[in-house]
Amino acid sequence: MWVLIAAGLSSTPAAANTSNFGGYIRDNTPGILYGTRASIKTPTTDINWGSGHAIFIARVDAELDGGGSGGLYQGGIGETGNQTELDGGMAGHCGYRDTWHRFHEQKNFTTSTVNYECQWFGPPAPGENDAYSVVQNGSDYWQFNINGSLKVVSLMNFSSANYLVAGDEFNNGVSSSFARQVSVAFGASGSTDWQRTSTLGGGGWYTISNDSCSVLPAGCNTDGLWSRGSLPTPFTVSHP
Amino acid sequence: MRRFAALALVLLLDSACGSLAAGSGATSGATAAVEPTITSSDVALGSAMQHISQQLGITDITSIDIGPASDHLAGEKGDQVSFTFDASSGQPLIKSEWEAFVATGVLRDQAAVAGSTPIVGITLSNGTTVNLTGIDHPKITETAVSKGVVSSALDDMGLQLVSFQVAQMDSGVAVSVTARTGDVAGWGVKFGNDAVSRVFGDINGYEGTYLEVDDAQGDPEYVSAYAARAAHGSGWISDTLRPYDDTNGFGDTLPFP
Repeated sequence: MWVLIAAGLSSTPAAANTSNFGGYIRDNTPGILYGTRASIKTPTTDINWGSGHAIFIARVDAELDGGGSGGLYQGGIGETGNQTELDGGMAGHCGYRDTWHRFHEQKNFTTSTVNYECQWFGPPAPGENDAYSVVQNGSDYWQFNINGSLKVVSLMNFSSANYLVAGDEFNNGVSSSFARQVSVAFGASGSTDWQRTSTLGGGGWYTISNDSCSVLPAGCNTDGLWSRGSLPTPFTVSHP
Repeated sequence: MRRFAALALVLLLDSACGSLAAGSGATSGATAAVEPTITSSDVALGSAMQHISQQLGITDITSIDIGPASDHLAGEKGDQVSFTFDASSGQPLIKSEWEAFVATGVLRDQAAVAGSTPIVGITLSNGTTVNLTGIDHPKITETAVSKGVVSSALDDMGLQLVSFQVAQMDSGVAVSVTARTGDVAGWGVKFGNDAVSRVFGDINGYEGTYLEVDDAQGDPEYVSAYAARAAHGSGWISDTLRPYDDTNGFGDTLPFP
C-alpha cells in the first residue's frame, strides 16, 4: 500500500513556471526590502495578440521566494488576449481585460496552502505615466499605491521581501517562450525612478542602480529575446 | 435557494445620530440564520444594502457599516463599506468575503446610478482594504444560470454536485457551486486550472461566481471566487493541491533557483 502511494506521488507532474519574464531584479544585498516603486508608462496601443491566448503585465513587485515557496505583492498595468483570464493558477480567477488596465495581485508566502487575490482597477489613458508602489506599512500589512493614492491594503504573512522586480511578464499557461511585441518604459524622464526602501511605510527611497540578474537570469530575460535599457531608470523593457 | 432570515429585518432610525440601523432582534430559534446588522449614515444606502444583502442571502456576516471614508481611504470623497464576519458560522471565510465584495460592488454601481453618496471602498474585519474608485467592468450579461448545465460540467470533471445556489440580483445573478470528489489530487491535475471556466464560462458576465470543491469528507480543497463589479478575485487551495499549482498562473513568482 505504501509503495503504491509513493509511486503515485513520484509520478506527480511538477508545477511548471510558464512565465516569460523581462526586466530587472534586485535582491536584498543592500539591506532589508520593505518595498519598491517606479513609474510605468502605458503603451499607446494594445498588444497585437493575433490568435494568442495569454496575459501580459508590466509591474513593480516585491517577493519572498525560496524553499519551493513563493509570496508576492505586485501591481502595475496589464491586459489579456482573447479573453484569457487574469489568474493565479488554480488558486484564483479575475476575469479578463482586453485593453490596458491597472491591476494588483498578491500571494501569501506559504509552505502548504495557497491564498491568492487579484484586483483589476480602471484603465489608464494611452501613454499615461503613473507611479506604482508596493510597500510594507508595518505589522505584516502591505499596501499598493497608484500615484501615491492607496488602492489596496493587505495582511500578508511575510514582513519583508528578498527580491524586488521592475519588468514585464507574458504567460500563456503553456510555454515560457510565449511573447508578443511590446515595449514599456519604466521611470520615464521626470517621473518616479525604480527605487527601493528599507523603511516601513516607504520613507527613504533609494534609486536602484545595480541588478541581481546574475542570480536569477531567467527572471530577467527568460527567453533571451528581451531588450532592456541599462540601470538606473529611465529604461525600457521590450520584446520583439 | 439561498437561506434567508426567518423574519425580516426591521429598519430602525437612530434618532440620536440620525443613522439608519437594521435591528437584529427580529430572529427566533437557535438555528435560524441571522442577517447582518446594517448601519449607515445615509438612509438610501442603508436600504439599498439591506436589499442587496437579502438578495444575496447573506447570513454569515455579522455587521455591515456604511460610513464616511476613513483611515486608509480618508482621501476619497464618499463612503466606505466595512464588514465584520461571523467566524463561528461554519461558512468558509473566503465565501463571506466574496459576498462582501459582490454586495459592495453592486451597491457602488447602484449608488452611482442613483446619484447617492459614492461608495469608494471596502474594508474587511482583518484590515484588508480596497479602493473601488474608477473600477470599470464588462457588462453583466447573465440573468439566469442552469443547474443542468452546471451539473453537466461537474459530471465531465468527475465531480458530484453538493449545493447549487443562485442569488437573483436586480441586474444579474451571483452563483455559488459546491462540489465533491473522492480524488482531490487526480481532479486537480486534470481540471484544477480551468475548472472555473468549465463550470461558469466567462465569469465577467455574472455578478459573482463561487466554486468550491470538497473532498469526500466535505472539507474544502479548492475555492475560487470572483466579484465582477468590484473586479476582485480570490482563491485558496489546500496542501493536497498545492504541488500542482502554478501550471497556468499569472501570479507566478520568480523562478527561484
